[in-house]
Formats: sequence, structure tokens, C-alpha cells
Amino acid sequence: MIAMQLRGFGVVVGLLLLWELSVRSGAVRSESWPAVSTILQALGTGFQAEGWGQVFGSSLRRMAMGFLLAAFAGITLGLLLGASPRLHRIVMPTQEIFRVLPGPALVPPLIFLLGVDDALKVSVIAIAAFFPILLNTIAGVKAADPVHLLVARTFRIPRRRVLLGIQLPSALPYVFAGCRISLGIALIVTVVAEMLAGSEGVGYFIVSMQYAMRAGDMYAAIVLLSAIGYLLNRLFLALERRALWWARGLERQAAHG
Amino acid sequence: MAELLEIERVAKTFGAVEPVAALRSVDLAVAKGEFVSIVGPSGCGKSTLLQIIAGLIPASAGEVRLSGRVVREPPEGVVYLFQQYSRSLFPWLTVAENVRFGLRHSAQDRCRELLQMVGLADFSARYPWELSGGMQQRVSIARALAAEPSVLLLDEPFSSVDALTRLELHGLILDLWGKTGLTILLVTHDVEEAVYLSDRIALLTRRPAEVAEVFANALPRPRRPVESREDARFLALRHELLTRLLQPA
Amino acid sequence: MKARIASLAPGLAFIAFWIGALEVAARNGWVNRVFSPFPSEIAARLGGVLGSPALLEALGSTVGLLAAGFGLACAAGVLLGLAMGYHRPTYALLEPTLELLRPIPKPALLPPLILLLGLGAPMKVAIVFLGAFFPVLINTIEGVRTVDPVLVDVARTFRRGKLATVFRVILPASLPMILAGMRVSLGLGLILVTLAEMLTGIHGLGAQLVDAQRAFRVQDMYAWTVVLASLGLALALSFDALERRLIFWSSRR
Repeated sequence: MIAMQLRGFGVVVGLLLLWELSVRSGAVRSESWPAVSTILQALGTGFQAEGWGQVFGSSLRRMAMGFLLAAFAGITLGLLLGASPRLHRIVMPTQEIFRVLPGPALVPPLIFLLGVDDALKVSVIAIAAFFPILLNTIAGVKAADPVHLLVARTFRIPRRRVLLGIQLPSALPYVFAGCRISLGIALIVTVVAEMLAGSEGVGYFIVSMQYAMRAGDMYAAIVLLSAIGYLLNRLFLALERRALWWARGLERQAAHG
Repeated sequence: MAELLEIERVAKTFGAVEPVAALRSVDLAVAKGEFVSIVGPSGCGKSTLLQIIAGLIPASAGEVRLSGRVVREPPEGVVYLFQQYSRSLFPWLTVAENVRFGLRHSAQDRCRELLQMVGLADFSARYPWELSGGMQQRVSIARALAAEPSVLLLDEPFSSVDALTRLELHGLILDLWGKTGLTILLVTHDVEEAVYLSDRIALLTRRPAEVAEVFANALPRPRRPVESREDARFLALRHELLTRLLQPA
Repeated sequence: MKARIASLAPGLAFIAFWIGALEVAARNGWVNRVFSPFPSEIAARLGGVLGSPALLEALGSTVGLLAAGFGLACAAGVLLGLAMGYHRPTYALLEPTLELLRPIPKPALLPPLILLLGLGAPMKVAIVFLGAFFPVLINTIEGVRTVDPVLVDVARTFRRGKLATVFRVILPASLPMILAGMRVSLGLGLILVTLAEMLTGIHGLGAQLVDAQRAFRVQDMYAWTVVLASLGLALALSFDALERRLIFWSSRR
């Protein structure tokens, strides 16, 4: 078992060594193909020389704003539409059209309407991150066990208790999953918006490095970006686990109360 | 003369951390063309034994020999019929295509003939999920026969069909057995079914299981659904088996 | 069929309402007539676009490169996924590498790819491939892992070889999950090819969009947005139809 896993890591190490060797030996001589060691170096100097704290910080700030907007709108609308199939049917085709439109295509129109500042980027992020949360919240509300709802009606349990004790806990796992997916999308869309309309931020940085042919810095930024995305995902998963444990407690309380 | 199927001191233990012994030491010999049933209390390991004979799981000790050769993986000429027959049929294939899956040489198309044997000739273009439980079981029997086996292993094949369908399927099995000369090993918890169908009945003990006793069945053939079940020899054997099974541990 | 149209009616009315509202707002100058979408103008431009060779060229480029990248990604993802899902050692060998590559946001790979492969078709096919590969791979592995063991045992009792088992039992049984992954990949692929076109600005629908933006042909830009949205919708609906045909059996088990 352990031997198998070690071999897997061996493959990673082997590939990285091959990459390094391909540059060192001169087999690949290209501006765009930096050595692993160069990238690692760039990672080290990034914060001092390039001010990565500012670069990544501003991107994360925009991402957070867009995400929170999306979460607020998505959960609110999701609860509404999940609880009212009639309303949902009215909104459904609009929702579908926006969902299948590729996110980047929204940027040029919004540039005209909102300029190229943060307002634009936050809006694009919010729109892209909105849909997974909306769809998951709707699914979550609809997933409330109809038998539970019927039982609640039979015992004439007040609407508020039904909402809090049955529909909310049942929707929560879905809402969290939707938020987690949206967080990932928000990060990516932040970078995309900055690539298309940026003057600062990670996306803009990566594109600038492309134009400047500074591949080492470019790859290093991508590595750090990936690491941040991975960490955010894990953190959110941990948060999810704790919150859902809490939500299950609510459910139990409502059942006994 | 060596028997067709020899089960010698077969034992099975599950779990490395906290071992659970399912079978202690099972000995049984089955002659060619025989119909033998294996009965025992719930959870005694009957299905496990059958799966070991089928070569689907390995024995922890002892061996199973088919025509003298040790069984280590599914051997030629042996087909195992699953208890969960509806899960064992491929839902993306029609009934005919499911049966065709069992064919050893895809060149021949005995589908029509096989479906006729189980009475489903008109349903060849349907999908398994469109059929009732009893019909699904017939499809899986037809598929098994497509492989031209010499041994058929039936794992509680009729436990989840209704009583009347069960009687029909009993008739079908006896009919097919008569026509093909197959050797059949049937695992069941239904004592009456065992007595009605088989030549001999092996009674297993509680887990970890061994063969408590093998009963010879004097009930004459051909067996008839109503009359045979009223025969004194049927009732006597049934009485004996049920008493033994219901005994406290 | 009639019932389906009937259920869509309120939704379509909702859309029509907003289009009407936008038209009225634009005509009365309540919103900036130049920069806001002006439905009647957009419709006029669309009319022009739909007849033109520009549309065919752009559509052909976008759809063609998307199809190439997506096709390659599906083939590679399914084959590797089958191998990794079925064969534990292969999985253990490749999993760490793939786990490291997966979190990389694919749009961020565009600049490196542009440096390495240039601005043309190979770069676009490559980015679509990279983006579409992982969802298909992951879903295939998961699909293989969750195949009903009874089905696999059926193949064993009938003594089917490993290859036959993989292609005649495991592949069909995993198809629902595989198709779910492909659906995600298709959407992601469209996003990536559009982005690539917008960044390089040469061929494709994304390029036309950015072109119109830069030349301040605002209503033309909106017209191209409509074309893109229609493409997205057409792809989604086609995929739905394909899925229905291939896994008609999956809800019945």
C-alpha cells in the first residue's frame, strides 16, 4: 500500500526533475520554458520584489466582495424560488440563458456600463458566482423530505419552525456545497476579469509577465494562485463540516421541541 | 468414481482486524446430474459457500474441486445466479441482448430458443426494468443457460418473488433440469422449496457453519406442485428439517 | 410537446417583458442609448450578422476548436479514468500528479500557453483540452468506482476477460457519471475557448465580440453576445438530448 503511494510521489518528483533537466541540459531553449529552480526563485522574491502581497491581496479582496454579493443574492433568491415553484418557472428560462453564456463574454458589455474599475470586476465575479449558489439553494429547499413537511402539517407546527427546523437544515448542505463551488469560480473569474480589463491584480500580473516574457515570474504566480485556491477549498470544507454538524443539531431540536 | 463437485473442509473467515468466521469446515460431494439444496439458519454463510464454489471469492482453507480440478476462480461450465437478480441484469441491454451476453460463442444465436425455454419469447425486445420480478429471474436463468453450463449455482433465487410466481418458477427449474441434465446446487432458506426440488438436502449449522447432516430425499419424481407437497414423505422430511432448524442454538 | 411549451410560457413572457422594458427605456433616453443594450438595434445588427460570412467563419472557428479540444479531452479522460478507476496501482501511481495539476485555474494557463504555442489554433485546442480533461477524468474514475459489484461479478461468473468487462460492463454502467463530467467539461471548454479568442482577438466569436467593443460598435457587440449565448444554449440542449438517448435506462434501476 505505502509502496504504491510512494511510487506515485516518485512520479511527481521524477517529472519535476525531468523538467529541470530539460532546461539545464539545453534540450529546450526557450524564454517561455523556465526551469523549476527559476520558478522557485521567483516564488521567493515575489513578495519582496514584485509586491505580491498587494497584488494577491487586491485580487482576494475583489473576489471576497463578489462572492459575498453572490452568496447573499443567491441564497435569498434561492430560498424564494425553491419555496415557490410558480416563481421559479417564471425565472427559469432567464436563469438558463445566463447560465450557458460564457462568463468572459459578459466583460465587454459590462465595461461599457460600469467602466474598468473594481465595480466591473466585482460585478462579473458576482454574476458568475451567483449561479451555483442559486441552483444549489433551490435544490436544497426542494430536497426537504415531503413526508417531514406533511408530518409538520399534521401536527400543525408553526411555519417559522417548519422553515427553520426542516427546510433550512435540509437546504444547508446544498447551500454550503454551492458556496464552495462558487468560491472556486469566484477566484477564477477574478483572475479572468483582471486579465481582460485589469490594471492590477493577479490576472493582470500574469498577462503582464506574458508580454514581458518573464516566464519564471508568470509560472510562480500561477503556482501561488493554485495553492491559494486549494487552501481556500480545504478551509471551506472544514467550515462546512462544522456548520453542518451545528445544523443537524437544529434539526434534532426542532424534532423534539 | 470421483464426484463432479467435491467440497472438502472449506472454511472462510472475513476481516483481518476482527476476524469473523463464516464457515468452519464444510464437506460435501455432489454427483453429476444431481439436484442438491443447501439450507440453514439465516446468516449461516450459505451464500458465502456458494460463492466460494462459484470461484467468486477464495476459501480461507480447504478446497473445491470440479471434475478433479481445484477451483480458484470462476471455472468453465459453472454459472452462478445472483440473489439480487434485478441488479444482475444489464439495464442498458434488452432481454435478448442480456441473454446473448451469456453465450460462449457469439456466432450462434440461440437467444430465441433460450427465451422460448423460459417462456419469454415475446419479450425479447423489452428492457429488464420493464419486467416483473419473476420474469427478470427467468431472463437471468435463460442467460445462465446460454453459457451451456454443467453446474448451476442458485443463490436464493426465488426469495423475493411472490408465492404463486415461486411455484411457477419451481416448475420451470425442474423442467429445465430434466431437459438438460444439469447439476444444480440451490441455496435457500425455504425448507419446502428444498424438499420439493432436490435429490438431497445439506443442512448447515449456525455460524461458523458446518454440514450438520445430509438428508436423502425419497420423494418420487416427477414432482407435482400440489400432490407432492401433500405426500407423506414430503411432510416427514419437512418436519425433520424444520424441527432441526428451529432448535435453539 | 404542447405541455412543454405551455410550461415555458411564463418564463418566456418574463424575458419578453424585460426586452420590452429595455427597448422603452432606451427609446426614452432613460438609460444611456449608446452603451446600454437597445433591443431593436441589436435585432437589426443580428440580422446583418446572421447573413454574413463573418458569422460562419467565427462560428466555425469557435465550434471547431472547441470540438477538437473537447473530443481529445473526453477520449483521454475516459480511457485514463477507466484505467485508474479499475486498476488500483495505476491510480496510486498517477493520483499525486493529477491532484497537483487539478487545482491550477485553467484560465491562468492561457498566458503560458500563448507563450509556448502562439496565438493560433493549437493554443486554443490545448487550453480547451486542459480544462475539459479533469472533470471527465474525475467523473470517470468515480463512475467506475461506484459500478454495482453485482454487475462485475456477473462478468466474472460468465468468465469474461478484463478488457471485455471494462468495455462491455463497466463503461456502460459508468456512463451516467461520465456524461455528467462531460457536460461540465463542455461548458468549461466554451468558456476557455471564448476567453482565448478574446485575449488573442483573431478568430472566433470571442474575437468578434472584443473587436466590436474596441471599435465602439456597441450594439454589434451585444449582437455577438446574443450569438454566443445562443451557442451556449444550443450546446447545452444538444447535450441534454444526447444524454437522454444514451442513458435512457439509468433512472429505472
